[in-house]
Amino acid sequence: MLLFYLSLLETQEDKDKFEYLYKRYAPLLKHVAYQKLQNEQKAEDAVHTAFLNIIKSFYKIDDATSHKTRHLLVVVTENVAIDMLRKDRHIARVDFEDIAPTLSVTQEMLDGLAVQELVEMIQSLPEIYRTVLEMRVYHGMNEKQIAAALDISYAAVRKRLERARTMLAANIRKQEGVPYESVSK
Amino acid sequence: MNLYQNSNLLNAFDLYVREQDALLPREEELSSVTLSPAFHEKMQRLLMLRKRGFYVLFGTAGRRVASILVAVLLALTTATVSVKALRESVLHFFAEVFDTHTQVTFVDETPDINVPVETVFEPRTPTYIPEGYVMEQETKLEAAYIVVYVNGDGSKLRYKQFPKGSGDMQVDTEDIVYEEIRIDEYIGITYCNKGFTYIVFSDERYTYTLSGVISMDELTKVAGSIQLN
Repeated sequence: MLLFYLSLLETQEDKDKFEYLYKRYAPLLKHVAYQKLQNEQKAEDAVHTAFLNIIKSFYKIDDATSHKTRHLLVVVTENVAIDMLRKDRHIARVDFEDIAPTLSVTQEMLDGLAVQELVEMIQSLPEIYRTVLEMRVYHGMNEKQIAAALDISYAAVRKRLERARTMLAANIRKQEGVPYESVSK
Repeated sequence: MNLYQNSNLLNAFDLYVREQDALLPREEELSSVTLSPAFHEKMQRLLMLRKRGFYVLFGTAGRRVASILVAVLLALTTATVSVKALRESVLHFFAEVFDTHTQVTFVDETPDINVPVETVFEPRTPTYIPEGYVMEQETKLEAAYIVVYVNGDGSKLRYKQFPKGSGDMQVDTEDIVYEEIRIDEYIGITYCNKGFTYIVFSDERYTYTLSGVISMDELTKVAGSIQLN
């Protein structure tokens, strides 16, 4: 199936861009993966898988030199490394369901906050939720693209997005002084 | 408006990503990070793969020959494309579509990523070129070497060298009959089609194709003059 994925790099421009990403960011990504895995070989495997996941995701990189692209590669690599750790340690991946009452953040909630306040709330999100939300909002990826980039199911992406929205809403309510438990959908 | 397009949230993520990005080591700080040759090879292989993997065009009369030819070509490249799944996919391919299609594009979707890639490509030129031919065009790519020779009549002799398993190959197999041929110690095939003579063979590292409006003997001499492994 590999060639099929690579066939998504349809144009020479795509191929050149991919090569540029690899040459420029491979050391950084290996460094990022090594921080998690503490193993040279595994770190390189993680970087390789991360590049494959990016290709698989159909996601088009607009500007290969931007901090946005660099961060996306870092996030995907970190995710791969965490997954490898999880597999090594035989830890099952659990996607949360119904841990909290369903509550979704609204436009009004978001508009009512200062950007810096929102940044703090983003930072406070658990990594797996922050990552999918970042990909959806900041990188403009759809659920299928996120699923491919993170190598998780489409349903898991939707669940994580829902959970991220719920957590954001809860945090906003909390800041407003409204007890989380008292908030209904 | 879609929640995910909320400008406040987008600005917050932009700020967050910039902050996170600032924490990453700069390129000059990563000079101590080394990447192993095996990793480079793996990535290089990823880069070398192309959209079009392996094409076979064939017509009704050449179907049987086409199937044999593909089998031979695969056997020739077994050392590199030693992927059981690939061979099985070819058999499956013919079993499925052989009787229903006259022209088929076949794409290899199962290359072996673990096959070592040719890291240093060494172009090899035939030392023997038939009289009257001169080099018209020489193209050196990262993973292919192509030379076109032409004679006074405008007839062209084409030579192509590429790492085994890395390139795509187009073979028009309609109405052809192939023969096995030995170039040095390596087995290849030769066939004629529409006035052109072809030779395809591989050594340990590269696959070579030669073609032209030229006799089989002459083309064999050209092939035999390539410095092989």
